[in-house]
Amino acid sequence: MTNKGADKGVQSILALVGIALVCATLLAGTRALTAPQITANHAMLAQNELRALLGKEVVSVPEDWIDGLWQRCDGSLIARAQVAGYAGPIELLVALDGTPVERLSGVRITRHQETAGIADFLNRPDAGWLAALADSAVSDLAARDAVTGATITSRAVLAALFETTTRAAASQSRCES
Amino acid sequence: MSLATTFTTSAIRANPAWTQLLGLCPLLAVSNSVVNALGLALATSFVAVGANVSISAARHVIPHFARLPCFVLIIATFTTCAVLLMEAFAFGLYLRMALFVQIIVTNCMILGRAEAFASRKGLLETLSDALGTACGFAIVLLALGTLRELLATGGLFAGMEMLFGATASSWHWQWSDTGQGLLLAALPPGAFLIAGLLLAFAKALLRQTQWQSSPPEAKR
Repeated sequence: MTNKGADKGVQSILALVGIALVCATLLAGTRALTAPQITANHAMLAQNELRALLGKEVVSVPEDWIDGLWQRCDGSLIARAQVAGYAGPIELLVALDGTPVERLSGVRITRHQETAGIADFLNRPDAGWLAALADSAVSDLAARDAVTGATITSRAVLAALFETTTRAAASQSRCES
Repeated sequence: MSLATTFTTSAIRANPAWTQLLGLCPLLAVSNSVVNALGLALATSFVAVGANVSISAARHVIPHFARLPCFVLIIATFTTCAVLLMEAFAFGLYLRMALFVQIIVTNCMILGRAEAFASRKGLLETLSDALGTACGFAIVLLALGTLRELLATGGLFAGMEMLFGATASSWHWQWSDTGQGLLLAALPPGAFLIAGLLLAFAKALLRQTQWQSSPPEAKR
C-alpha cells in the first residue's frame, strides 16, 4: 500500500519534471530562432528615433549610454529620459546644444501611454507645443505653460526636460562620437 | 458530438465573449483598431490552440492534484513564444500591445477550456474546440475593432503594414477627410458602450435563432 503510494509520487514528480523540460526546450528553441531578428529590430528602432531627432542619418549609434547621456564631439549632446506621466511612463529623447548646455535643439517622445485624443500632441513633434519646446533656451523652460486638459502629461514632460538638462550640465565633459 | 458541432458550439453558442463573458480585459483594451484586434486575435489563437492541444496530448501524464499549475505552465510557455515571435516579426505591433499579449497567460477563456475540455477529451476534439473558441474570440475582437476604428478615426485598416508588410499600407481607407471622429470610441468608456450594444445584439440574434430551431413545446 505505502509502496504503491510512493510509486505514484515518483511518477507524478517525473511527469512534472518532464513537462517542465518540454516547456523549457520549446522556449529556448523559440528564443534562439527569434533572438537575432529581435536585436536587429531594436537597433533599427534606436536608429530611427535618432534620425527623427537629429533630422539626419546617424552613422554610429553608441552601444553604451553613460547615465542616459551621449556626448557628441561637435558639442551637442543627446539624452534619454523617463518620467511618470498620467497613465504610465513617458520616454523622451532630447538633443541639447552648447557648453554648458543652453539650448534644446530637439525633443522626441519615444514611448507613452497617455490618453488618446487628449495627449495626441505628444505624437506630433513638429507642431504646436512640442515644436516650440524643441527650439528653446534651457532658461525658458521654467516659464513654459502646460497644455490645457493635459496638465499632468505636459508638466511631466517639462519636469523630465528640466531634470535632463541639469543632469547633462553636471556631467558634460567626455566626448564619444 | 461531431467535430464540426464542437467547433460551432465553441465559436457561436458558447462564445467566450458574449456567452461566457470571459477574456473581456484584453478584448476591451486592445480593440481600438482593426490591426490591434487582428494582432491580439492571432496571438490568442496561437496560445489557445497550442496550449490546449498540448494539454490534451499530455492529459494522461499530468498528475490530477497538480493539473492547474501544469496548465498555467503550458499556457505561459505558448504565450512567451507568441510574444517572442511578435517581437521578431511584427515589431511595430509588439511596441503597441506587448503588455496585452503577455497577459494572455491570465486569460481565463484559455484556462477554462483547458480545464473543462482539453484535459478530458482527445486531440482532434480539442483542436476543433480550441479553434472554435479562438474564432469566437476573433469575431468579437474584429467586430469591436472595426466599429471603434471607424467611429474614432473615420477610416479603416490603418497600420496594417505592421502585420502584412509594406504593401498593406495601401489598404488604409479614409472615409472622413479630417481623420477626426468620435474620440469616445477610442477610449475605454466607448469600448464598454460598444461592447455592451454588441453583446445585446448577439444575445437577441441567438435567442431568435434558438426559437426558430427549437420545437414549440420546448419554450415555456
